[in-house]
Amino acid sequence: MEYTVAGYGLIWLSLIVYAWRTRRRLAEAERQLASQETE
Amino acid sequence: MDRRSPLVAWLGIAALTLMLIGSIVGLFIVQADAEMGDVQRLMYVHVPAAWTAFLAFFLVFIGSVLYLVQRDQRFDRFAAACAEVGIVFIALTLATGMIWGKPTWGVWWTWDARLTSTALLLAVFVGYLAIRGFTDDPDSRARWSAVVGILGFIQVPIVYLSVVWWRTLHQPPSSPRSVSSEILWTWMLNFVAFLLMFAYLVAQRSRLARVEAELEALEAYDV
Repeated sequence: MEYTVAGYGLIWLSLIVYAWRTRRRLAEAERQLASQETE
Repeated sequence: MDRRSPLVAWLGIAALTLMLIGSIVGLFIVQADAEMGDVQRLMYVHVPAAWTAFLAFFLVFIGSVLYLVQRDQRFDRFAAACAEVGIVFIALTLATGMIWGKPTWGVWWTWDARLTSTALLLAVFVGYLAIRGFTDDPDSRARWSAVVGILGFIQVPIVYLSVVWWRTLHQPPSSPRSVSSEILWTWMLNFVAFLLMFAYLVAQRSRLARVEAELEALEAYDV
């Protein structure tokens, strides 16, 4: 069962980390855009 | 679509909920395979991850063709978003396949036609993203990416048919008639969950590409 749990765990971890990282990149890009537009 | 759009947020929540249900069904509800045992449960995420990746690369192909016809940057950004998310799913397909292969075949990796062609597919789309970093000119970046995106998609039917064309360790393609309804429904459940997650990630990644393009345009204007 350990291989199976490792596979499912990898799927969950990878998708959550990728989604979180994309959200963070988006927030940073939006912050930069807002600050450039106000300059 | 705005990052804070309720539709995108609900898409994310729906994806996570369905993924949770799919994982519970795959891990605990469906019966373990009589021959392979529990490790066969990996197929309930391995196969849907592969289908999602194939769909992602098909959408890269569509976005690339539309860009070359219309010369509209929105198609290029959509194709790039699908490529990046597709890479995540094809990498997960390879990883779950390797985790299944170790207890079943006795090795993490073998240079089997299906495995090798899938690794090549991953490499092609990593190359697609690398090419996008070679130039700052949005038009030439989109043009070259579109060409690689279209040529890269050719690898998808090669991966799919590799088990038919060559003698491989990997089992032949499954069809609704070759698997039990229990397996089929668990696949479909996880496939829908991954599709929702794919749609959520592409929506977020496309929005990021649009903001980056606006930033690039502002920087070019300042210079």
